[in-house]
Amino acid sequence: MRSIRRTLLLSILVALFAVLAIAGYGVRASARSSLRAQHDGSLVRRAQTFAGLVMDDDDELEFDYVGPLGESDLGVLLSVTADGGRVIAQSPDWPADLAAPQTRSSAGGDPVLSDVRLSSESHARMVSVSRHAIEIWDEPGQERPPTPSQFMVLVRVVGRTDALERAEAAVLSALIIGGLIAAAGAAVTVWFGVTFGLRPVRRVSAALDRLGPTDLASPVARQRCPKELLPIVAAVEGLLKRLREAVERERRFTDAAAHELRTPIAELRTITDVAGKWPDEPRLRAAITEARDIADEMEALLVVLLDAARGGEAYKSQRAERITLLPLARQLANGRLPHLHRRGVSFVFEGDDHAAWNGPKGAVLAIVRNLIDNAAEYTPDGGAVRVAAAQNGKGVKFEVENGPVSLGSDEAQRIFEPFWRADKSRSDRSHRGLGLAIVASLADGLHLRRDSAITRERRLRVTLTS
Amino acid sequence: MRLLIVEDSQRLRESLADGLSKAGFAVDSVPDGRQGLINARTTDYDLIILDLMLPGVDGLTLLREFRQSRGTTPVLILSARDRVEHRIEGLRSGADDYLVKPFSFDELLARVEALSRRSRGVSANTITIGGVRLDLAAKEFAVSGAAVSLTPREYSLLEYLFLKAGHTISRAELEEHIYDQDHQVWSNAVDSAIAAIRRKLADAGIRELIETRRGHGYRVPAPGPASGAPPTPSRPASIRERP
Repeated sequence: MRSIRRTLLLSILVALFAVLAIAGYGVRASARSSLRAQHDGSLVRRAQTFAGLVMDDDDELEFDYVGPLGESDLGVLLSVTADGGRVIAQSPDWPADLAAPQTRSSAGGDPVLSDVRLSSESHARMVSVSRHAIEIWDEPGQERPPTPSQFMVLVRVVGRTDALERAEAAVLSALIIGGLIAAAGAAVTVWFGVTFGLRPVRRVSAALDRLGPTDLASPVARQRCPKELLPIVAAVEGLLKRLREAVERERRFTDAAAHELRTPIAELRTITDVAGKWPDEPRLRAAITEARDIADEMEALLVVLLDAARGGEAYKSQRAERITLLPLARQLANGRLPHLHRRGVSFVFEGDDHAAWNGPKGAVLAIVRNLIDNAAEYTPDGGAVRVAAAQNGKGVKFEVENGPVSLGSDEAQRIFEPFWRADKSRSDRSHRGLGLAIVASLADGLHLRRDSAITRERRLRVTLTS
Repeated sequence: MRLLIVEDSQRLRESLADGLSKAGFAVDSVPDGRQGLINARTTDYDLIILDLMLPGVDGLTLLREFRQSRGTTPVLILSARDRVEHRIEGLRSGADDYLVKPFSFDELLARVEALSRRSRGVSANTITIGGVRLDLAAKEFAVSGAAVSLTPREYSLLEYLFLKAGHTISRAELEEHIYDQDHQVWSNAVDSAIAAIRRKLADAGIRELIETRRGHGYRVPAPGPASGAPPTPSRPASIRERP
């Protein structure tokens, strides 16, 4: 499973180790280069010093140095040779097999540096400097500046690098140990930082874990929440709110459904109980008839309930077609005119006759019919139902308005709930409060936006927009 | 015993009225809360069976208004609302019992009998007065273990007198509690029923159990202690007057 904490820790630690390794390598390289440069510089200066001590005294080359030339005395090995390989001066422990460098510096040119091996364990650096010997003027009274003679000499100085390598090893060790300590410290710091930084996430997670099906109140205190988590907390709160509303709707639905079923079951049970207790023939016959009627009513309820639950599923096999709304509404209203005339209820149609929805005809028909029936039924005698259809941007808006009604705004929001009825007693068994629930279910299936509101004239307006 | 049923479901109302009538109760029934409140206030019922979700005035409002107007009749709520909070609300509003739909008719009957009995201050199921034993559960009078054959009306009348033993019950009160509002009550119906009961009791060897108090009504003597009926000071059972 992916974990933010693990990902953070891994990525930070890998990056940290990479940075430390690169930095360590850089420091080591820089230190090594610096040490070698100092060592080489020292050898070069010595070689040049020694080269300056080779004198040309009347075409005789002399090394103007008094003292032992051993490595232990000079700290380096020294070899001074003239052209032709004649040795002018040399450390007694100069290795015989130490070849002269392939590239010799030209007279007065840059010294040539090379790695040499003195033994299997000992490495060294050799500096070769070629230059003219210094001519000596020994006539009295003649003061002349030193001038190069015609003879070239090759001065080679070999300095062991053991100390240099030990210094490099010490630097490397220091870097590795320091790096490991720094890495461990950084790892612990990062671990604490990540763990501490993710505490709010864990707090939110634990709070959400505590949520139960019956406890959907928002569990996260916003003031203790870091701002990075606020959008998630806000989204969770929104989700919980919608969940609470859905649960509340379900509860009301179950209550209403139970009530709708309890009453006919109570009737059935009482009728059969009484008929069973006093089983005279007329009572038994009446009980059977009543039981059949109750079964028919319950079956009808079941059919409507399934319609409300299934919504557009029943019409999925039908192909979508363009259905003009106002002509359909007019046609449906005309079919109810005799009954509506008796009550003095009239219909007003407004808007665009060509406004149409695309959808299965059965579903659109059921939506418009239920809206028309509901509006006509709950319009007081002598009232009017307004039906309007119009283009609304890219969609089409269909409105049915009736009234005056005694509903409040809160109640208007609930009219699409199954079994919801303004009449709390539910005495009227000819209505179940499922017509608009069917409309809602079908509208959701057709992706129509639905809205219900009470106008200033206390009329109920139901709007569906494609 | 006279009951009022306030229930908007016609089928349930009629079948309840039918069953309870067959069980020996005088039953009035109305379909809405407003009429129910009028009936409850104007008639001295022994029990009211009340639905909650009613057109007009809902059941709880009816109950509260009835109790506020000092109505003491026991009320049994019969409702599809089954939640605990609904039951609590119903009982706190003044109901004496609460039964959730659907229900068994026998259970309803048993609760109706228990409530009626308790409202009269009777705790036991049997009352014995003057050698006559009333079994409220079996709805039967017996003398020396042998049942006395009474019609439902006669049974109701004698039961009412037993439940109010020691009190003088007027003819009008008897009529009100024995007959429902749809029954045509003849002027001598109670007297005729009393005469028939006396005759049947005499056949069983019991005489002078029901006193006639001229100008006041009828009375059976209060039972002795531990007989099940409420103790009431009464006049000697031997005194008998013609109304």
